[in-house]
Parts: sequence; structure tokens; C-alpha cells
Amino acid sequence: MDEYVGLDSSGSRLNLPLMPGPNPLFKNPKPVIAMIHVGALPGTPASRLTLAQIEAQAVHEAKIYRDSGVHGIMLENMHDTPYLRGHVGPEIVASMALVSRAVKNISGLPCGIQILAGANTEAIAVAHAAGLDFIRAEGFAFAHVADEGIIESSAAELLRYRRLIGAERVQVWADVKKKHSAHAITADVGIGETAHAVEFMRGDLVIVTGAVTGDAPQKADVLEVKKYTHLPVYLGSGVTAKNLRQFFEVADGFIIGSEFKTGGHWSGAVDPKRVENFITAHTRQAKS
Amino acid sequence: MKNIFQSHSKVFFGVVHLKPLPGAPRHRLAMADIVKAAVTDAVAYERGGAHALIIENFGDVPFTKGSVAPETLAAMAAAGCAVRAAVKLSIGYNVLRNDARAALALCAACGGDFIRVNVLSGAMITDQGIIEGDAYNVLRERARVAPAVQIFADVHVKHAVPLGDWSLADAATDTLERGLADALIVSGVGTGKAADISDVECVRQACPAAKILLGSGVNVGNAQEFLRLADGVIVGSSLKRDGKLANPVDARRVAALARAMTQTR
Repeated sequence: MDEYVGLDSSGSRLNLPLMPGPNPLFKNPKPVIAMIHVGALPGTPASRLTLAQIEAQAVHEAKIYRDSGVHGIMLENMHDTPYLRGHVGPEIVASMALVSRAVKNISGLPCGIQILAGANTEAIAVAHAAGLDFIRAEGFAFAHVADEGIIESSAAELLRYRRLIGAERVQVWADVKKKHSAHAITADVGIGETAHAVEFMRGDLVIVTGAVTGDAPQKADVLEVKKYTHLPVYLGSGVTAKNLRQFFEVADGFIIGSEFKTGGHWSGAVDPKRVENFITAHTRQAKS
Repeated sequence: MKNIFQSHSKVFFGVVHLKPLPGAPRHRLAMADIVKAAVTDAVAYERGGAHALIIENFGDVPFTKGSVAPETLAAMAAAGCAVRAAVKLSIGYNVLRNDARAALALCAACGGDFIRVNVLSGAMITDQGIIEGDAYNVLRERARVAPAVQIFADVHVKHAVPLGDWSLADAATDTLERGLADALIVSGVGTGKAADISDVECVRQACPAAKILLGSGVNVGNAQEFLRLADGVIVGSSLKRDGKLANPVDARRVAALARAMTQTR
């Protein structure tokens, strides 16, 4: 792998503390984080189930994940389309807090949350209250055009907020050049530089994705990001039991949703066989 | 969703005063300890014979007159679902000072049956400044996220004076008929201070068919008198151990009040 280029030779350009390699949350050096796509929440257009039903479904999936040996779980309000931009209503915060707490309690695993779209403050609030360990933030550094509109950097407010409520324990995992988004406005900033900015802005981890949910990242992107940051680099879309081999060496962790679902589509039910199959492939890679 | 007034002719609501939550100036305890304190109080209410609980962010002074921040809401949800798991009582929320939308959200998420709204109708000069009722939006929000939830609205709420010269009777009638409150709450001037019996009489006369609740200062000594006119009591302060606000709820005090209430029938 190429040498890290984020700092100049004296190491003084950004005055960053040198981060330890692996994420201290996980014993496994290349953890698998499984997605729970929480059912459409109250008041959203697709809302259909009661919160009790939504919670039961999430708990059911958490148990499958726990028993299959994944290393972490992330919750996301994926069914709440079309997403609000930047902030969500109190009913979403309260609902996600409730479901998160149940998933954390039943799984006993490191757990995190993403609240779409870009509701990163709300995600920190929920993580803190529900005892979760990390959030996934889009629009942490720089800006992009998402299907919700323009998403701008949230890092400064977010980390001040995290400090204000005493939630420093909660890690922030930041997407770079995120899927479902246009990045023309930052066309002169490479994905590596974006990852570098995440580290400079005190993010805890960088996530690299493909173009959309279920799409694999470009290996070249992952390699470039690794060159520009000390932070762990996880893959956030499109990794499958089949293609894991080509990413295993370069990535530090894998966030898996679609691959675990029936039909390989994110909106399907979690299929224990698919989870098992992936974990087997993962274990095999770790040994080879 | 339960209608608490159908299950009990005189309803006893115990208030779970949450310790200062994350983000609040007096916040000290870890979330787990805040949740544990809430559950302990809730269990004491249930053991003592209360019928329902109101969970309130009581420790978060100074309160905002607008929307509470997400950390408050998330913490209340965490406490709310732990309480729900620990007791069988009906549960509602009061998000101080007047965040009805947040309270409805908590009901939707944690299975609550009712909310308390300090100012639903009219305008009050409060210790947070002028608070205006927003029944228009509160009722629409209820339809959107928690249609079966009942709204209990204060009339001339405590720690506030009305803006303008609304009579208590007019305020009560408007809150009921134009604000569409499901129950009216009459209180004294502050937490722990009893309402004037004449005020309760006035509201009862103005709204003969309304559900009326006492919202402050009810104790073993005065419960009987109030319940001749009212349908229930919302009590917190006087049920704490040694009557001290900062103490946990004392199940024996709860039981004593529950007994005093039954003797009225």
C-alpha cells in the first residue's frame, strides 16, 4: 500500500493526533456491521405498522444478526422516503430512540444509527440516550447535492453538540463522496482529500460507497482514501459474499445491508442463510 | 389505546419527574441512572395504587417555551420505554414547557395514551416569556402521528398569568370547545400549590360535561374536597418521601392518597 500522504514530512501540517489503527469498538480486526432498515415511522408517507410492530421486527432482525456472528449493528430509518433534509421531527427521534434501545439491549453488540437524511444531530441525541456507540453521518465534510437537495458540512455543529450533551463516547462515521449524490460542486476535490478533511474535522471513521445502495465501491477509491487518512476505512455499500475477496485486504470493515436481505435488495427481510453465508466468507478471508 | 376515564371514575395520575436530562444545565446523572430513577418512581406509583403516569422533564429548568432539543426527546423516549416495560399503568407525557408536538411524538413512539399541554389555547405570560396556544397545529400533528392520544390542557396554567383579561370560565370554555381539549386541568399558582376550590367550581360551572383534573397541590387532606367537582388528580410533589421534591416517590404516600380518593365515592 502507498505511503500515507495526509501529513507533510514533518507531520505538522494539520497537527493531527496519530490515530490507532483498528476501531477500539470491535475485537474483530475487520468487523461486519449489519443494517437494520427500520420500518416506515409514524407520520411518514409509507407508515403502516405500529411502533410496537416496528420494534418487534427490528428486534427479530437483531437476534438473527447476533446469532449469525456479525460484529455490530446499525439502524437506519430507510423506509421514511422521501427524506427530510438535515432535520427530522420529534416523532422520528422518539421512535428511533425506542427501537435503538431495544436492538442494543437484545444484541449486546456495538450498535450505531443513521437518521436520514443528514439528521446527524438527532442521531447523536438518540445514540446517547439509547446507549449506542456510533452514528453514520452524511455531509460531515464538504458538501454535495443529494436527492433531498444540497447537504452541507455538519461537522462543526455536530461535534460541538456532541460535547454539549456529553456524548463524546459516540463515534462519528463519515461518508465521503456519498452514494445517491452528485459531487460536481466538489469536482476539484478528490475522494482522498475529502477523507483527509474528515480526519482533520475530527471524524472517527471514513465510509466509502458505490454509486447507490447495493452498488460496490471502486477499489481505486478505497485505496486512495487509505492513502489520505489514518482513520479506519469501512465500505458502506455493495459488498457481497462474492466480491468480499477483492475488498478484504484494502478495507477495515464492512457495513452490510442489501446482501443480507432476501433477493439482495435492501427492502427485503433479513435472510439468516445469506447472513451466515457472508460470515462464512468473511471468516475464510480472515484466515487466508 | 385506553380511555383512562372509562376505566376509573376518579383518575389518579402520578407524575414521574425526570432528573435533569442530557444537555440541561443541571444534568449530572448518567442516562442509565436517570432511567433507573424514573422506573423506581413509576413502580412506586403502581405499587401504591395510582392509575396512570405522566412523565415530565421536570429537572430541565430553565425550560424553553418552544421545541425541546433532540437530546431531551431521545432521553425522554429512553426513560419512557423503560417505564412502559416496568409497569402496566397507562402512560402520558408532558414536555415542558409547552412542546405538545414532542409529547405526541413520545406517545407515538412509546405507546402513550395522553399528553398534558400547559398552553393549548389563548396566551399566557410565563416564566419563559409569552407562550401562545397553538391548538391548530397540535391537533393536526395528533392526527398525523398519534390520533388516539388524548390532550389534557391546562386552563390558566401555574407559573403564569393570562395575557389580557380572560376570565377563567371563558378560557376553560374556549380550551374545550375551540381548542378541542379532551380534559381541562386546573392548578394553583405553582408546583405543589393547591388550586382555589372556587376556581374549580368556576370551571365546572362553565363546562359541566368536561373532564376536569386538578393539576397541582393535591394531597391526602384536600383530595376529597376537589374530587366532588373534578374527575381526577395529577400529583407528584406531595408523594415524594418526606414531601421533598428531590426525593423518590413514596409508595406509602401514594397508597394513602389512593385511599383518600376512594373514600369520596
